[in-house]
Amino acid sequence: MSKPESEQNMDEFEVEVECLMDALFLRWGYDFRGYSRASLRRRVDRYLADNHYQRVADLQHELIRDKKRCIHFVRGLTVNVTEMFRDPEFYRVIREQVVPELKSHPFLKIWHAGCSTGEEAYSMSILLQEEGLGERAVIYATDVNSQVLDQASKGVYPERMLAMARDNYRISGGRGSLDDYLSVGYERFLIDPILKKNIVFTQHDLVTDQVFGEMQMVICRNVLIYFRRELQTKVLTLFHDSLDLGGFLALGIKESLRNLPKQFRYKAVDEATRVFQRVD
Amino acid sequence: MKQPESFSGSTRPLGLVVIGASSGGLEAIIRLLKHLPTQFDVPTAVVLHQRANRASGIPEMLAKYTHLKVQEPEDKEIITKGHLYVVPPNYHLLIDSGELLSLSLDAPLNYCRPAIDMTFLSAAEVFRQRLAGCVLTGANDDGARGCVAIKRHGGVVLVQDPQQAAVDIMPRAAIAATMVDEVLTVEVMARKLTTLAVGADP
Ligand SMILES: C[S@@+](CC[C@H](N)C(=O)[O-])C[C@H]1O[C@@H](n2cnc3c(N)ncnc32)[C@H](O)[C@@H]1O
Repeated sequence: MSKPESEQNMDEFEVEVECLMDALFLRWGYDFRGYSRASLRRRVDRYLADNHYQRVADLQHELIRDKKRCIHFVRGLTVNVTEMFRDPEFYRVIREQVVPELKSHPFLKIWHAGCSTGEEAYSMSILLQEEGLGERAVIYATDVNSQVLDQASKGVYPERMLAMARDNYRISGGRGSLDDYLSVGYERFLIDPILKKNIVFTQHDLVTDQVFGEMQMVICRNVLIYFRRELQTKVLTLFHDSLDLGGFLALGIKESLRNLPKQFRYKAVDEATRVFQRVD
Repeated sequence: MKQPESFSGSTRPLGLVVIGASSGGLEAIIRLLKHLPTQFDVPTAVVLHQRANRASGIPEMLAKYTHLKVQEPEDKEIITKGHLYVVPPNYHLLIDSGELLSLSLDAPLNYCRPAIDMTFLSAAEVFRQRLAGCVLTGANDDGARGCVAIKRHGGVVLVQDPQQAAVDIMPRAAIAATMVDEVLTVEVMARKLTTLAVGADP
């Protein structure tokens, strides 16, 4: 058994980071208190160095008084790395094992929680088009960070990301050529606006905001890794309450349902790519 | 400020070993594992730079040479005796409070993901004197900053003898960065870890 947090003998920096997170919540309502300590420490450490602060106390003093600076800081706390068709085997499983079931629904609601700059949602949109579900699906793509959402709705990405995207797409079982869905120019590529038609990008904080009702699929990949176990439990409950019976839940390939409340039942559709189906 | 405990006077049992390696690393790790006796059960994490994006086959390969239970860790797994954790390609491994394994997709550090520094730094903060960091062969200086942190928190740093390393840049960088505890061959390193494991004074 691990001791209650308060009895663990924290070092100075850890205490400072905890206090800083409390302060941000009290002053501005940003709630990072349930985030992984190790990750927060790295991010705060980086922010101090990049912005030439000597001490956390100096930073805290400023963040409590300067909302703009606080927004800047908070943006730096989230990790937004993503790519198109990341983990192509995951998309293959969706294509081969989930799509056949989704076809029985006249109307589909899919939630990408923590969509970052949008690549994941566009990948899903392409897949659904190819599987003939494009017309009946709505994708809600949400993130806490409004800056990445702005980028997501533009759908413009650096061209150097394209080679990997093409590879991933091919391995994922793509039926055509990725280039059919984008145009390239000025060292960037632009997602075909047609794909945006059924995606709604909107801000949503998994820590403080409410359920998204009656989804047939919730996809939240590589977001829970930044949360402590208690917060994972809370967010998995939120997903459960947002999912239709028989709906699908997809996590990142190194994430698990270990922190799921015991009474919830899921069966694995594919263990390796962490695709589950709600069965109660 | 707390003074780091001196290495020679130590009687702590180890809580975690982190092995960092890059070019030529797989072979060196295998040699190290082969020399760990079967009673060695300290949880051990391997951070090996890899080019591959996907399933590397490395856990399966290492499993042939060790009695430890080899696996790619899942996020927020509890660090457990008798396990060897191989960082999955394209993630960083962080050690979290409560002695948990935590994965991150943070940008590459020192052009590396996984980065040895990420694991060393976070492990030093959680395990402090109960951590041993090992730096093996490699062609960049990842791990060096982490060694400084390990020493600051009172842990042990063991470095592969640069003359024995396939590529000596990484061991040399570690040695230049801080007062490392010992510079040795991987065979002797395995013996050292075994004595440190039980908190015995060699
Ligand atoms: C590493 S990215 C994952 C992107 C994508 N899902 C993938 O796997 O490629 C993590 C995302 O989670 C978002 N995030 C972090 N905390 C969040 C919260 N409380 N609510 C919603 N999104 C959050 C971050 O802003 C970031 O964009």
